Amino acid sequence: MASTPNRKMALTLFCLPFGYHTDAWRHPESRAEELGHLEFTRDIVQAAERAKIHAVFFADSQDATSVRTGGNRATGINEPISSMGAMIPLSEKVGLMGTMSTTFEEPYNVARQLAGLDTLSSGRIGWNIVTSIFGNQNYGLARMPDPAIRYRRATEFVEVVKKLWDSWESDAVISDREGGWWVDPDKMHDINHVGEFFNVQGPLNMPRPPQGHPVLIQAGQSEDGIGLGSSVADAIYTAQAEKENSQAWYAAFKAKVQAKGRDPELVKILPGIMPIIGETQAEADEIAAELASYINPVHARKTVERVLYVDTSDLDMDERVPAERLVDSDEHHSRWHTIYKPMALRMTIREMGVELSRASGHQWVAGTAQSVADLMIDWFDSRACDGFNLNPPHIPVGMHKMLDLLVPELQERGYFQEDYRGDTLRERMGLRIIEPGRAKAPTIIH
Amino acid sequence: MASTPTRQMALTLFMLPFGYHAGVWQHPDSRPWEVGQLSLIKEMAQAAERAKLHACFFADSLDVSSLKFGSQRASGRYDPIVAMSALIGFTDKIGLIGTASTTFNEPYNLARHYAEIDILSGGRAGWNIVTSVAGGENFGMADMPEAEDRYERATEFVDVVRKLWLSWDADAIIVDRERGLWVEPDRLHQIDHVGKYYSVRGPFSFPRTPQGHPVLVQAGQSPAGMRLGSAVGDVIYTGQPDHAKAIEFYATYKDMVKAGGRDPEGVKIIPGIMPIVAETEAEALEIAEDYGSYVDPINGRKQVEWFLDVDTTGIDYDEPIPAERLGDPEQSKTPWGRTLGRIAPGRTIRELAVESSRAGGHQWMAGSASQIADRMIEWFDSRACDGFNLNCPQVPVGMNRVLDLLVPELQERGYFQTEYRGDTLRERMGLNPVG
Repeated sequence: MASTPNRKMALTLFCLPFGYHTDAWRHPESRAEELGHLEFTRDIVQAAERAKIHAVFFADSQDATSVRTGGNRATGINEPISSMGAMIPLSEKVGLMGTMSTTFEEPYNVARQLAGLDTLSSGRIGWNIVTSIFGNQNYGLARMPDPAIRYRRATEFVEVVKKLWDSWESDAVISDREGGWWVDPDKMHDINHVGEFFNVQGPLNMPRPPQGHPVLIQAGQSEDGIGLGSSVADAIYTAQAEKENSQAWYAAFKAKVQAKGRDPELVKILPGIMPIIGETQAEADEIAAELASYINPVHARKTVERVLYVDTSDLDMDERVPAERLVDSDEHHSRWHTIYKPMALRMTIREMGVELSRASGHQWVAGTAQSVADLMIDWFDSRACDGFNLNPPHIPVGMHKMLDLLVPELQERGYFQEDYRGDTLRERMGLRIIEPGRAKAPTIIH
Repeated sequence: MASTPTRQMALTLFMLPFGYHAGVWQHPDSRPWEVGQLSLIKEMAQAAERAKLHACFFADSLDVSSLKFGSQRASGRYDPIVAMSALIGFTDKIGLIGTASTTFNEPYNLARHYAEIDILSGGRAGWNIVTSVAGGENFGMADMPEAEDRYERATEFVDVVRKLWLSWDADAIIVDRERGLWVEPDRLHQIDHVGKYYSVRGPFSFPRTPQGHPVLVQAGQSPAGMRLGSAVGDVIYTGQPDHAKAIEFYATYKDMVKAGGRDPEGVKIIPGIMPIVAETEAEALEIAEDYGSYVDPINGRKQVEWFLDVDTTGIDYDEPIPAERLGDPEQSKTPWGRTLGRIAPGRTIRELAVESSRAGGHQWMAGSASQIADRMIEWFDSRACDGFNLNCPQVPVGMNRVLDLLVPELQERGYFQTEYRGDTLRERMGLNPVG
């Protein structure tokens, strides 16, 4: 074994009960009958906690288009707020991260639900800030607002949420029985926010949470997204399929963080990875082929059409989408430009369907625990990342291979924690510590 | 013991960890440091489940105006969605009812929160529909919308939420591994709702929930509130301090339910009651006296001023408010303001403050378990109600007396269940099935 590394990875688990690999739920050992049920979600969260994963991440979507077209990966089958809440009594130290949209929510509601979750979980909550690319039809919007507007709104939204979290001083709850004051009213402050999108007087209606601010996560790779993430986020999810690109992106992002006066070591960049783990390379390749065999070609075509914003009904699965149909537009999601269009230019519809089923812009790899650990450590040591968001290809089988074979390999090599250290998610992930709320009774010394 | 009653009460627990009686959080038995934390609501919900109560209920408020004048009764230290979801794993059969506002939410988001809680809890979720009377300043509103507008919006809001909840056929999930279809796409339906306030296409992103859809609870007593509640509510919370008025309200309400084409027996009318219960009447009265002493004169005066919208500067705490300073009680901004206004003439500020601290628009009573059970049964048998929302004066001791003395008394007399029956909250409370 080499010398002990001086950094350790941050690892989170993408909680996607369908499995990350499209149509992996067709695997005979999947628990597809139980998707969204408490016991199944519990088993995923508890497996992550046994492996000492820092956090479980619940993504979200506000529309049923993907489930109707078989693209189950994007399904919001776990509503993040209630799912995180329900996991509090069923886990102890693993972090709980959830997506909430700044386009479809109100900052007061978001601030409050996240503060409440953080308090009830003793400081284990994170918020993945998204601006949403779909769902407008369910919120009275004829179309999604332009990305520039969405990000301006998101930036102000996060500002309001942080002001609300700061609106109670850390020692505002005094429980003064004699004087008759539960909270010192002088330690609750109106925020009087007046902005382009929001007017919010405040203060919040509950005390400052144990982490001060729940952990903030951001994933946008557009210029606007990077602007927001580098200003406020503690952790960055990113889709990086190539190591060199990822190194360049990492360096540029950390430089932006530093330029804004924040410590870049306290901001963790976590690309996604889907590791298909076998005892041998041959077994891993076999599993990858088996998973690919589950892909429903009709759904694969619809997924390709959905991400490219094109109609392919007149094309054969083994043809490419003609380049003239791939028309640039500011309204397209950043991944359209960086990932999907380049993919469409070099792959047939079928190939792209398989690739999207596996990767969706993230890295995927089939191998042994040793070979995949080699790859992850190489990325980590060469500053292509600070850890990974683990996309389990199929659940429970593929997830357990990942947690029971790959994670111990990383632990043995000293690259991942063997136990949790610290009292909150911020402490455990090595993020910036923010003045915590002190809602518990102080020790009274007589 | 009399013959076995043919109906049984519905009982729910108002989750107010400060205690319902104003000021008693200062009592040495109270645990104010745990308010807002998980430990206290976990203990309350588990105690309620041991007593076989149908549900625990989280009210809500979206501002801190009451905290600013030292009143703790108002809810809001727990977000109901968050609190209900966190209690799922600590409980097994008790229902989880929470308030959410139709004025400050989007129907698609709210429908998802409650559907998820219903699914994760195996059919135990209820939504208390409110239109909110305060909080607009935190949602970009210079003033709260007028009540009429709020109820019009609420009616459409609930319509959208129910359409979303029903937008997947009950058999939409087919898990067909062979064909690669987890759902049968034809069994997911767009709702294509286009209304005055909302345009929502759907379908929903969640399957049909175990109860068909979560239980709907409503509490408005205005004509608009009663129209909404009688049209859609499964459970009706109401403030009824007077027996005769409660009988009248009950009859009117059930007629409205029937006129709307629903079975009135499947809609439960549940007034609040604050029982100060002890082994003997004398002991209960002593406790009531003790609780009353915790009403802080400064905060008590502020509360009276706020509810009556009156300035009491220069009037002694033990003097009545001169009639000329009191406005028309019927113009008050809150139901409790109206009730308090009606009894205000001739009463001292202290008396009004203590009364306000005890009742808050609901009935209260101090007595032995047997005496309070008599009163509750009298109301129940005379069709003044179908059960009660229990406002525990103090937590945890006062609550435990209610659950350990009063509830067993009702059970022994056959008026309350000794075991849960049914698989969902809807079944356990005897509510109308969905659809």
